[in-house]
Amino acid sequence: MGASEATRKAARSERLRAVLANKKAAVGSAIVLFFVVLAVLGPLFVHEPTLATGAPHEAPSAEHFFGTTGQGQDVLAQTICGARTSLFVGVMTGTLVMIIGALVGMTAGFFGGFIDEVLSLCTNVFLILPGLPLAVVIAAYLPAGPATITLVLVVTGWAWNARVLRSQVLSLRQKDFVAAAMVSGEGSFKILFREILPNMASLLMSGFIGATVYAIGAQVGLEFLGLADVGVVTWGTNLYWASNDAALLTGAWWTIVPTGTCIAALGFALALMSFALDEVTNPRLRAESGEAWVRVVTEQRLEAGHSTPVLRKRA
Amino acid sequence: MPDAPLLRVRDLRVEYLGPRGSVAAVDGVSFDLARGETLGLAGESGSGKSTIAQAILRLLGPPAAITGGSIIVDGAEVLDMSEPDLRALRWRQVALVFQSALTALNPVMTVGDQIADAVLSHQGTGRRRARERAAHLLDLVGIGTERIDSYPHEFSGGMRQRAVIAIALALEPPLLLMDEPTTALDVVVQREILHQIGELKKKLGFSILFITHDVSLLVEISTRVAILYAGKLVEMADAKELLQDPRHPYTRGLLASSPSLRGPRLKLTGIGGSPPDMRSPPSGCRFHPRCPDVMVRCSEDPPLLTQRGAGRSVACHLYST
Amino acid sequence: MTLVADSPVLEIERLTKWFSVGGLFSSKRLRALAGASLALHRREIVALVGESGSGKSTIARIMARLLAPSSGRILLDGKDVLASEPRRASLAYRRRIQMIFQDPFGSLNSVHTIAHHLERPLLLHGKARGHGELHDSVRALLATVDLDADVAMKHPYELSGGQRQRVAIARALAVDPDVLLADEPISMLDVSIRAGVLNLMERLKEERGLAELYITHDVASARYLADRTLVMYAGYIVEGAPSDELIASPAHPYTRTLLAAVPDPGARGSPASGLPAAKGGAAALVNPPPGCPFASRCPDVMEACRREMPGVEQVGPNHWVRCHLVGPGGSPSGPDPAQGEPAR
Repeated sequence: MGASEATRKAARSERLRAVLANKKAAVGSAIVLFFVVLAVLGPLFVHEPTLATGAPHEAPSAEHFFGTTGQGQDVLAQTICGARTSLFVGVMTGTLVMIIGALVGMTAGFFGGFIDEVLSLCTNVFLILPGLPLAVVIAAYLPAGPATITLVLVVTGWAWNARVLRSQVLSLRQKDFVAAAMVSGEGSFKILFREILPNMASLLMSGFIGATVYAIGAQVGLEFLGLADVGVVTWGTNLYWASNDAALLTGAWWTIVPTGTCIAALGFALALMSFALDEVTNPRLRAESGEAWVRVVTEQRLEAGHSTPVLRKRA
Repeated sequence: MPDAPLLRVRDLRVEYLGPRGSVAAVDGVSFDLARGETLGLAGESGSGKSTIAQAILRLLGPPAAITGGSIIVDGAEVLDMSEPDLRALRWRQVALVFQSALTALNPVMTVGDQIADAVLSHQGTGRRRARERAAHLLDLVGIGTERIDSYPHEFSGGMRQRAVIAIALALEPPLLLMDEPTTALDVVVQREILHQIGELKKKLGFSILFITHDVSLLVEISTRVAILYAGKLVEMADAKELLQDPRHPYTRGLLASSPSLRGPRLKLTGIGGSPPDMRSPPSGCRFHPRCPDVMVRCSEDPPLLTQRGAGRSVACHLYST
Repeated sequence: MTLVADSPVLEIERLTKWFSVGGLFSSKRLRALAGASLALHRREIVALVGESGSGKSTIARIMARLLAPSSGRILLDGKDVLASEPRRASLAYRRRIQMIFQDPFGSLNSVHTIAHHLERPLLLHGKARGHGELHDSVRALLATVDLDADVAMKHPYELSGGQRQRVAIARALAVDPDVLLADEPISMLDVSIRAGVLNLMERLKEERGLAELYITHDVASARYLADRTLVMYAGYIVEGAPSDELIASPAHPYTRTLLAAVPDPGARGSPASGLPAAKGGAAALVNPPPGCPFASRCPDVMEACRREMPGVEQVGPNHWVRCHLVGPGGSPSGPDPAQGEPAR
């Protein structure tokens, strides 16, 4: 068993290497990790964000690295503390959307028939309902706060993921290995969780990442509209207050730019991770597989048109 | 030069470039195709047969590259051609019929339009003339001019393949490359399509390079047959001779893998082992790990394709003096 | 009740299968099976030959109870299975009837090792308990299909097509079945590998006394492997005979068409020779018209053919056919489709 054991280990480490070597994955996860550390540990190192520690709308200085808000609060502290809640709501929403989407999608796709009809109808209804107005309505009726925001985002966001996962389950269900498992006598739930689910790992991950990106952005949007508890420090409420305090009119760009940059950077990082995931799971997309070809073609100064290039090896 | 071959391939080498070195899918293949001839190219997966067809028209996408040899069509070297020259070559001199008609046909265009398109893009004759030509071709391949405005999904599998053949014949090229054109069809339809191709060949006089894994089929329809294994040509002979007197152990194994319909029910032996991993092919003769007649020399020394009698070549140490 | 070797292990009687097609509000129905009957005996291989759309895969799936028939009976050792376990197949049924599929790449789950694939059925049916027994059983199964023991720790993508198909056979054998249904097991394998798998199936029949159903579109391999060959067309089994007899004296026009179309290297010549009399083309399976489905293509079609489906007529001791050309041109009481494959 020695030789094959070695081959197996080699194959496994090759896959790991592919993941780590993937530049997009590396950059993306580095940025995300940075924000996670920032959210968890950052608030320990800054002032209390709601305290007024300086004059209103002070430009960035040595004392207040990102200046102060319209109420004299430290923008740096607000940005860092805001990360915590925003990230938490984002990840929470992403997780819940993935779980609900998976349960609904897998049940509908696998069992088919009446169950599928009912669940699909449900999914389609939620897909059609306009997200933002629905979010506004729900948020208006429930007590403001991050929990409400999470609920609202999950309710408006689960349907798309469910639909995508259902499609994949439908196609996996047709595969012969599922039929073979049935013929072996395997029970339906065992098949669903042991045979089908592992094949959906990448789609579940990308669903999670997509939902998290959506959640972070939508959350900021809702809070900016004032539908959240504006007393809680989040990125969205930072922007809300900045707008409320006429930041643009007074030229206090520092109240908007840090938070905005953080949101953009995190969204970008998550998108990179999503692309990296696609590349790793679908070898055809791998940039590295085309690199050797591109390199040789450019070296020999050939026209990289549609036709197969002719490379003459110079001895 | 009336006797010059229509297609002359010499030492063709096609590689797929990867991050960890390249894979030579075709490694030094040479053959000629005379005018009016049907040359059959037989091989299993990994033999490189489909790669050869697409390489002749330089249709292989990245990361493929042609790294050696020459392909001469009617006196012109394909490997030296520029893009405009290649466009003139394709469909006017050489056309390709793919295996899967479903993927070769555009589902949102009518069949008539697709044929007319082929005519228009390779020979600007004007829409009306192109449509007339399309109708003529549909009639020629046995579909019937009345179906000119039908969509591919309205056709049966056999009719779709006829449509693909019609597109290939749009400009009456002297050379037709056919890559497993009937594999996806049922046996009765396959027989009809092959019959149709035979009729068209008699009428229009084109040459065919017919690629398939089905050796019995090739022997029936080809003038000569060439056997490919792991990117190399291992044997070439007249079809009937190959059937009656196969020399290369792989050819013998291949013929002993197909059960016969009539005649004695012999035990099929097939060939042990599996086709090689082209990323690291066996040393010496690529067939040696599976060869029932293997000798010491075979793992060290790759045999050359040598002439052994009129029209017969074999690459095997069993036949070297 | 002693089980005589002559009585069939698994039988189907007058099986039909309809699918609704065309969306929610369409009344279109596709007839995949129109009344098929056959019997499988121990130590015998029966080949079912037909083109795509003939219904041969549907029969296998119904016999494997992956699909429920629209009507008809399935008899295991003479007992009506659909009556005793109408909703789901029991584990006991699963233990006795196993199946292998056409696509060697699709029938194994790429996320699991080969050992996992073989261990699941062993555990489910209590064939092995505990780590040691499992390990030994897996090794034994692999040996039965001529694979090395180190294949067990590999994943499907590390194996060739032929090896995967052998693993699929090993998985089927894990439960020690009585019947093996093989749905086009070699059509997606390289030509040089096919003989090995066919020979393995033959060996298993002899060594284990399996009843095997070999489904294929290739008449030549049917003749090589099977003792009996049945020909299917558009949901009906239209002819059945010992394999050599079917090829030597085919009675049904479709069988004759099929045999004429098979490439025969012995018959050298241009493709113009040997053009079958019947044209190609699929039969209408959606809302089909009455009568014999081959009527639209048959070179010897008669009036009666379009009116009603011919009944079973014997043309030899073990050779029967459903064709108006043979025997009375349709009896007034109508044909009895149950007469397909009589149990010996």
